[in-house]
This record gives sequence, structure tokens and C-alpha cells, in this order.
Amino acid sequence: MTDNTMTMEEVRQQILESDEFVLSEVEKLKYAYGLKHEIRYEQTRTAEHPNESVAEHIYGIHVLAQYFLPLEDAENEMDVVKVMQMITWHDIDELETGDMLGQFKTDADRARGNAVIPIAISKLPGSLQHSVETLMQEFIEQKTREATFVKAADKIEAAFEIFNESYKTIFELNKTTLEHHNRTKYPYLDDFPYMRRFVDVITTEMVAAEYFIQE
Amino acid sequence: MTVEETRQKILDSDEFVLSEIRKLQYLRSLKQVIRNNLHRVESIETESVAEHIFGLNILARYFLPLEDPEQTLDQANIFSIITWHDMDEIESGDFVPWEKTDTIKAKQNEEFATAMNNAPEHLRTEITSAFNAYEHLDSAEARFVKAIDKIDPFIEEYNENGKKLRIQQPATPEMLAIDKKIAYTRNFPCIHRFLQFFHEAYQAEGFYVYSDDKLIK
Repeated sequence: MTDNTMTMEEVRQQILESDEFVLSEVEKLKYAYGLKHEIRYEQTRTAEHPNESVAEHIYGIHVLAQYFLPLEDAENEMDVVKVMQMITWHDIDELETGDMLGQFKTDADRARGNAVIPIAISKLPGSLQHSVETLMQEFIEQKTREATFVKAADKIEAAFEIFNESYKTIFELNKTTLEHHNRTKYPYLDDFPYMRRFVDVITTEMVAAEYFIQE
Repeated sequence: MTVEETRQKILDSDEFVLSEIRKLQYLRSLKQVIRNNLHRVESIETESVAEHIFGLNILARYFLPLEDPEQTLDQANIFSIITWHDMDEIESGDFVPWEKTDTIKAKQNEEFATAMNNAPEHLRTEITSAFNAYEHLDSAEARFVKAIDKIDPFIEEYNENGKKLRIQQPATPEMLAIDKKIAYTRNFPCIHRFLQFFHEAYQAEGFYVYSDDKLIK
């Protein structure tokens, strides 16, 4: 087991300066994503297309949050416990609505998602309801650093998941363009230069490898 | 209901425990919501290790106020242990309890070392610390995560899908390492109560088999 040889400041600098370093970090984070494909209870999972549950997406965000928190919050000002809780709960509306691909989501869809949150909360154990309601309210309002960080991590998580040759057929199925990809990520990354840098590098690679459908 | 009232109801009422289990299972159904406009069609619904980790996050949020009302436990550490405690399984895959032989356990450190060589450098100290704490159970936080890890499969399985799995994969209480699970949960009264409920329900409802040729329906 190797100890850290780079300081956090060196890691930050490398991320900002070296595409090669970012790509190697992407591969390491995707390695941790391998737990999405380890199936329990001696079962196997076969599918025509690669697929991911919302639960697996939430796991992915936890991994990314652990990675990016020391980079984006060098002064340790964020409430880490709140961040982790918010990640766990942030998609509870989808218990009622199901998941919808970001590129298709309208303001009406977002409003509907927010409207069903009380329904989902009402079905939780009573002891959890108040804390989940408070966290979801903060997440929806997007005013705190914790909420905007979780939102940003939520948006970039997909980039790590889909940056994989096997997802190219999904791009064709969903007719995903570069514009769709950019629109669903960049607006949330203004205050997070390291997450933004990763999306920049991944996007450049995906364009070069012709992931996106031409508009 | 206050936390104390919730604790009391858990300890006193099977009906209440069952209703809490169903609500926790509702939360876990995000495992069946599939992203990217896709579907997952399975005759027996499967669970990835990532989904199991998601499930542990939910159980941690549920049980922490009940088992640690004074908030003495380091919650950030708990979330870290939950995220990283199965990192060796990227190399080894997952094993059911009756397959975890001494040989397999001995390889675990080697597999974890391989996993660390593939992990981002600035995370290695944290991941190693979390993994080792969980392996050695040398902190209250690690023992809490171990306890919820032991009841998580019951929450996953105690439904029609789980019954299909148990028919396909008959298991005795010994194969499911019930004695060990009891030992890991004993110091957490509410988690232990859930385990007791499951053990009794499994016996009564035919989730266990008691011999190779006698499947209790």
C-alpha cells in the first residue's frame, strides 16, 4: 500500500494543468465504479445495454464527493455529514416519478418532481421524515454550498458512468447531442473548478471518440 | 413520535418493526428505478455491491438516532466506512456467507492492496483507514457499520423476490451465519431487535431450510 506522495496542492495543480493526469484520475474513479457491476448473492446480471439504477448512481456520487471535497473545499468549511446525507436523499422524488433523462426534462417535470417529494417523505419511517424534509428543502433551494456541491456532483456523476464505449449505443438510442450533454452539466459547475475541469477533459475525449449524435 | 418512543416501539412491537421494514424497503426501491431511459428485466431482482452500499447509507440514517441519541459517534467516519468497506470486492467479487472460507479471507488483504494501487492517490489513506477499521472492528463506528451490514441482507430479502432467491439458493441459519450476526448486533438494541424479528420470521415463513431434503414452505 503506498502512502500519498503528492500534496493536495500538487493534486489541484496537476488537475488544472494536465489532461493526462485528469484522465488517469478518471480511470481510477471508474475503477471504484466497478462495485456497480459486482453482483451479490451469487447472481448474475445480463442486459442488452449497460444500465444503472438510481441507487448505483447515488453510490457513484458518494465516491465522487469523497474525491472532490478536499479539492473544492480546501478550507474544510463544508458540513461533510450534511453533504453525505443530502446525496443519499436527493433523488427520493424518483421513488414516485421514476427517473427521467436530463436532456428531456422540462420545468414542468422538475415541478412535478418537487411536488411529489411530500408523498415520498410521507412513506418514510416517521423518525426520518423531518430530517429528510429539511435536507430536501435545502437541496431544492440551492443556496448553500453543500447543496450546490451535491448538485454539481450529481450532474457530473453521469459523465463518469457514460464515458465508456459500451454506452455509445445508449447515446444513439437517446439521440444525445453535445448540446444536451453540456446543458445538463455546465450550468452547475461555475463554482467548482476541479469538477468543471474533469467534465472539460471527459467531454473533449467523448467528442473525439464520436459519442455524440450530430445535431 | 420521539426518538425514545420509536426505540420503545421497536423493542415492544413486532407489528411496528414490520411496518418500519416495509418503509425502509420502499426507500430501497431506488434500486429498481433505472436511469438513462433504460429498463432492467430480471426474473429475480439482483443487487450490486454499489446498491448494497446505498442500502447501508439508508440504514445508517435510520439507526443512528436510535442507537446513538447522544451523537457520540463520528458520522463522517461512518459514511466513509460504508463507502469503502467492500473495496476488495472489486477484485474478488462478492461471496455469500457460506463461501467465505479461510482461504478466501486470507486473500482479502492482497485484493485490497491491488484495489489501492488502482485508487486515486489522495484517497488511499482514507480508504485504507476505513477498510482496516472495518476489518479489525477497532472503533465504535466500525462496529456500527458491521451491525447494519449484517441485517442489510434481511431487509433486502424479506419479500417475494427474496423468497424466490431462497428457493433457488436454499440456506440454513448456520449457512447465513446467524450466530455471528447475533454477536455483531448485540450491543445495538434496535438493530438486534430487527435481527431477532427476521430470524423468527424466516423460521415461520419458510425462508430457511433445515436440511437438504426438507424445504419448509
